[in-house]
Amino acid sequence: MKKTLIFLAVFLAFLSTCRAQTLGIGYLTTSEEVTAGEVICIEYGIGNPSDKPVYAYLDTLGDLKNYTYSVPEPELIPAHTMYAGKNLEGLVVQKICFLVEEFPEDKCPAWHIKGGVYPKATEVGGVNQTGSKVISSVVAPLELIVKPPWSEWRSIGKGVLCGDYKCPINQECLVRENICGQKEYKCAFVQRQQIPIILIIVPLAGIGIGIGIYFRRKK
Amino acid sequence: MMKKLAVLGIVAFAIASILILPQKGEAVVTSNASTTTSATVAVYIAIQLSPTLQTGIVFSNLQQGTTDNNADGNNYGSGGTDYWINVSEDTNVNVDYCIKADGPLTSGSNTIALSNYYFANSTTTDANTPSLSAKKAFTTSYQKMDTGLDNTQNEYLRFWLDVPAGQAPGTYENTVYFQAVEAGQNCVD
Repeated sequence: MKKTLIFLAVFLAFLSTCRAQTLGIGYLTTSEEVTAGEVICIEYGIGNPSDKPVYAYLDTLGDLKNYTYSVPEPELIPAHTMYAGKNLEGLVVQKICFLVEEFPEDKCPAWHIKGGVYPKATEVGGVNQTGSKVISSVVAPLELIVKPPWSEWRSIGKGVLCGDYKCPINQECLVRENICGQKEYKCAFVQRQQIPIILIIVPLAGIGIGIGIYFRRKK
Repeated sequence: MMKKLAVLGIVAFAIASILILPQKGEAVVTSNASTTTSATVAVYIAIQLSPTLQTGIVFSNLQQGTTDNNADGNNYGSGGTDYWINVSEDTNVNVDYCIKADGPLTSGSNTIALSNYYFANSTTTDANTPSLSAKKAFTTSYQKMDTGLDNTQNEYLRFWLDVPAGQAPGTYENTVYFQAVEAGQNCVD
């Protein structure tokens, strides 16, 4: 607790003395598909072209704000943190997560949620004269394409029409549905547990013997 | 009596055996797919503000009833502006710049409307560029400035403020936001 308070105090003191800081963002995607109810996390790289280290963390803009599941802790981005030209190498990598809990039926068949992700650090004190504080940001656009959740796969049997085609003779047709009325089909081998023949014969024989003895005694 | 019990026992065992027979089980066999990991070049954008812009946009010596008052770093009519943004050298895409303000300049309950606050932008600068004649009023949603700039180009800016007659004295402040996005993308409020 004490350590956290000290960190916060140092962090706030650091921020209050900052001028407008500008950071860099590296990204590998601008669009991700996600199923409602599932958390999706996306990695971004943060760079710092300035001469001063900066504490920063990923934050969101636009409609994505409402679906941000978790943002990373502020992290020190060293001065002159440069992009190395491959994947997110050279940058401080952070992960931001999103969760769309429910899928409204009126958004069928897919819900597009737009916004942006940016490294948040820039903050300045008041200008103390008439004028404007300045905040700058670099933004990675992001669109979440949210799909409704699917039901479990269930078998509709062998030899039936499986979507547009029939499954091979040794496979069953499986189907799953979603709230938008969409169906997906696939053929699959379904392994059924084999019941040992002895487990059928012995009970049946037992019943037969029992009934036989019962009627014999009745006679 | 013993025989009856034996018969009942056999029948009970048989019924119980049937009831506890293993339930039919299903296991869907699906094939596994493998993927190949490869290196990808990410989009990377970083911008830097000029030292003067980092400290804010300041208007000194304002008077009521005056128009087009220069911000302190404008150097309008005398030299290039001290307000600029550039793209860092490791940025690997061209960028578009946007600008907005969070609301009117305020001093307590007094305000100067954003319609009195202007900016102009250009990729070059001298005593007359960016030009007053190209000024645009700030708004609270992002407006695009120059687009498609690479990491050798700067975005130069100037700012002007009208102070209406009868404006109450005070220190008026707001916040100006700059945003850089990959060329062709929309800025995000």
